[in-house]
Amino acid sequence: MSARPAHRLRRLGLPLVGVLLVAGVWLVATDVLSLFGPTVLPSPIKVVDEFLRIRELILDHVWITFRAGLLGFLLAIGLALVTGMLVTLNQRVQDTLMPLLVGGNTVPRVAVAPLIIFYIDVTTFASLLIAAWVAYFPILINVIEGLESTSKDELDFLSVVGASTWQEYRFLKIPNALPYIFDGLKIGIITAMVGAIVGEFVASSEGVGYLALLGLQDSNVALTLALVFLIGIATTLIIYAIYLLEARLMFWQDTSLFSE
Amino acid sequence: MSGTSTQSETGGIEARAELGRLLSRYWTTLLIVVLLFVGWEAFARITPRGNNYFPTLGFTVEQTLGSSDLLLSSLQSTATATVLAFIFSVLLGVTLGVVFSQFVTVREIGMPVLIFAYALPPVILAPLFLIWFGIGLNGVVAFGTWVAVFPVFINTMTGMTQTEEEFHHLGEIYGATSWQMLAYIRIWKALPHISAGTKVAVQSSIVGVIVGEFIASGSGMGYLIVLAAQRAQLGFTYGTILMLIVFTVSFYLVVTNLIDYITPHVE
Repeated sequence: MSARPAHRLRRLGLPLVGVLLVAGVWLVATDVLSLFGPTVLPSPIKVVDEFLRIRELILDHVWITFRAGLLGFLLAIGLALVTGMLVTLNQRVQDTLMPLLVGGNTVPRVAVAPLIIFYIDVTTFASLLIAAWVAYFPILINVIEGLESTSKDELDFLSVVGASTWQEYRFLKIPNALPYIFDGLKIGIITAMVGAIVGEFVASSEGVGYLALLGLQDSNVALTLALVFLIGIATTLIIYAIYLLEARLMFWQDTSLFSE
Repeated sequence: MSGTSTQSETGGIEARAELGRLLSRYWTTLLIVVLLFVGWEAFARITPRGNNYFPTLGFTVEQTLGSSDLLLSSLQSTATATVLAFIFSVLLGVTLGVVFSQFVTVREIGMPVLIFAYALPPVILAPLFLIWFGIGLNGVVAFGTWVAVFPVFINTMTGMTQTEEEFHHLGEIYGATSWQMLAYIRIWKALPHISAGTKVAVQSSIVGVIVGEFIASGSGMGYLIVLAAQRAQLGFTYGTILMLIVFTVSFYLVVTNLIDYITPHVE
């Protein structure tokens, strides 16, 4: 019994040590030892100052990117679930489309971002579409893999009891696919945010990507770092929420914060 | 003489049979690809806004060939950056993965930073890498490495946990040190995962390099795509993207074949 609290302390303590260590080394290297110039690595205090100085502007732009990424992510999930189910309905259709989908997942889809921006004049909508476009493929591949993970025995059993195709999906294929789908979602939210930010890099006058480019032009590392932390925290929280949902829905299985 | 000719003949027959099998399996896929190109051409001809809005296939080829020198030099710098970023990311990712799995304390201390770095959309760091490493090949390679290192790192760490209980006992019986366990047992169990991570790193390194080139502006295919789209040279934009896809697929095939060649085959 006495080992338990010590173990818990260690489990919570060491990660905390990690965070403090990074912050401490950073603070000492910049403010105490002045190893780096302010245009290379400003002290963490400067980063916080910079954030507080223009926090309303920064938060506005973070919100624009966050919204585009999240809506694009939701659009990608909807499309991936529907097309994933349609593709797995028929073996011939699946065999036909699979090489194209795997290929689409392999090519660098962000390369098309300038084209999407060319055709879609409204920049916030373009960012959303780029986010959906890059997040769609990894989610879809995981949905299909998950729906295909059902064993033949289980399917045979369902056909013996006379289940309809919909019942097959509802009671067997979809529950079986959940771990794969959740893994896809964890990758998908990151890629969706990537898409939104890249869209803003290429052509936009708003959002985190735009603001970070201004930081690059002015060598304002403090601003760029502040954006990195805000976007990182936002995405981490969404992944954590996905993870909690997964643990809740799939109480019978161990879940992991990481997707492989 | 006659022996060799029959041999090559049977080889030819087998190759033809193999081709036939592939065709019967994938002819619908081919059909879809052809239909996509037909649809492209049809849409390009119908659209009233012409080649500078949606180019025909002929115009795409023509405009791309017209700037083939520029395209080839861009391909060269993109390929250089991608290969370098890929190699660095694999070396760094495997090293970090091994260190993290060997030292429990390092893993626990590093976990929050690792989770944050994993969840962070990597492209937001592009401006930072360009400030730190310069707006040129160095910055682009460094950023490409950053984007590609995570799949290798995470997969290596996962692979290191795949050793079965029996092998741990075996190591204990022989009194293996933790480094011997690593060298003789754990690394081998991790290899399939490491090679899977390496394959993902191919794509990630290209994404990193292209995004770096989007904003580093100066050279590479990423720069070319943005420039051509801004100048409304849509034929050249499409041509460059198609060329990039060809490069990605070739690089992917080279890497996967290399991995299959050097890794031990297990039934």
